[in-house]
Amino acid sequence: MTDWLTYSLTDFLPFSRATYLRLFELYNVRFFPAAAIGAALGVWVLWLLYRPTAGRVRLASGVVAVCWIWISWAFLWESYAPLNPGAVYAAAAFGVQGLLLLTAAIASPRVATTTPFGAAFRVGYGMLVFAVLPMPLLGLLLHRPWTGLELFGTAPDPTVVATLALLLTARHPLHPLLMVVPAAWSLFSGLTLLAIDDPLWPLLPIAVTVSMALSLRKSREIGGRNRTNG
Amino acid sequence: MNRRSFLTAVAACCAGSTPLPRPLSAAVGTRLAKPIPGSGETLPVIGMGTWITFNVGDDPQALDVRTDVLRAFFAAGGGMIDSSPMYGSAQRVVGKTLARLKYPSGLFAATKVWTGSGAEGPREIAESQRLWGVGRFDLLQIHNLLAWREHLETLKAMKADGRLRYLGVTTSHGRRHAELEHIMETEPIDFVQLTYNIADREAERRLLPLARERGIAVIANRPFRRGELVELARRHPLPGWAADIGCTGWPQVLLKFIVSHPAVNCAIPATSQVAHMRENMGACLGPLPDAALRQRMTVDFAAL
Repeated sequence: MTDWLTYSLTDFLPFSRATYLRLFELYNVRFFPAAAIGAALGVWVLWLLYRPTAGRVRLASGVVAVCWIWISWAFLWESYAPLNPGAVYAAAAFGVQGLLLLTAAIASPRVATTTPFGAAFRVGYGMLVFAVLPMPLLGLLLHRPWTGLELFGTAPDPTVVATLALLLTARHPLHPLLMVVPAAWSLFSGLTLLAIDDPLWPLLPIAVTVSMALSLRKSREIGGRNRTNG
Repeated sequence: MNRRSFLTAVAACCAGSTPLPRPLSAAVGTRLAKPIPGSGETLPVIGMGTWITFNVGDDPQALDVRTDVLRAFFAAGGGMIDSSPMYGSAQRVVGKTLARLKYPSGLFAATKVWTGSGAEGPREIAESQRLWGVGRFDLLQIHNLLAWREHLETLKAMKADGRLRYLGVTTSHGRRHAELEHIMETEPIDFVQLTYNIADREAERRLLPLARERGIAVIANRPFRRGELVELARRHPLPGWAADIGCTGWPQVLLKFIVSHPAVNCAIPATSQVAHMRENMGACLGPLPDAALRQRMTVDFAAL
């Protein structure tokens, strides 16, 4: 049992920082122009949620769902799993998340918007803008080549942040379930980046913490309103 | 002194029958090798690990660099390459780069079984053979003692059938030494791989002497603690005694310390750089430190 205490993060990482960063370069080139399409879809989601309606939220959720399914196959299964055997489990989880989001978007009649300009919506929309626009560009500040940037729609980290944001801007009945995989990936990715000494490692853990706190507050406010109206 | 008598002298000294002369002088170009107990086959004292360094997927640039690293390894007389299914794409990369070099004759192919299911062992071994592109491994090891009882039966059967030359077990980071000791005492293994370096010397207490008693070859992993020991040492100038044992840099000092232990056959540093590979393989040349110098090396290193 005490053996576990001797392990460090790096003991679980079977690749170097250089290999991890190169992974995104090779992935973006191999699946070109998927990265550009994903980024464009991110801008579209921003537009859809700028003046949200139930229909636009469903459409945005559907777009994000397709992105999760794409990442499950193209990134996690095809590109990352050869380097990190554990990625096959992440691929399965991302696939499940995509299907759940698709289900929430298509099948559920209860998708509705939060009150626009409420705190959760404002923070959520801000997170969405961050995930689609400046977050990918942070890599340039760390001297990563532009071909290796992680973009919404094709890379897991910005897509996870965007999903957490989406869940703040709308009321999905599967909301608690839809938080599980993003929260797990946020922890996994944060630890991976920490192990390779990447200064951006706190981003996802912070995003999921903020999202969970605001989601809890939002659900209490909704619960309070329902009791008052009831 | 010719090459054969020099190597015989090294082997005899390391078997403990004669104290190591201080320091040995070697003919230029003579590469140090030690005999595997039981077979007498000699193995160059510096091999190559592939954890992290060869896990590069299908990156064409990285494959070219790893091919150059292997070319330098074999040009310097390298033999053992050690890998594992746990190392991501490393086995596949090893296979591709070996194929580019047309499988040099000095290759000693060593990999591991890494599955919790004894029944899955044969399938995993066959997959490793396919990835390496070899018909038979020289050495198969049970990685971190995972399901060792079941896998040991598989490996024994393979060895009896002539499908395997040597079998062994591995641990690292000083973990599970009590269990390793039990296996070494009770099972007919040919090799044991464990962590041994100038800072991590716990194995000297019991496991290395036991390996000598039982005629088990020893492979030392983590010779540099993933670079930590080299980074620490490089802040200080080389001590004067380094030149006495033909060392021009700290990596060679650290490697010669390891392989100068009478029980250790081979150290397996991992690198992704040709210059580092050439430097590491420099530890195959020149004299090894004797017991007195080894003691001084530990004291001096501890003081860094």
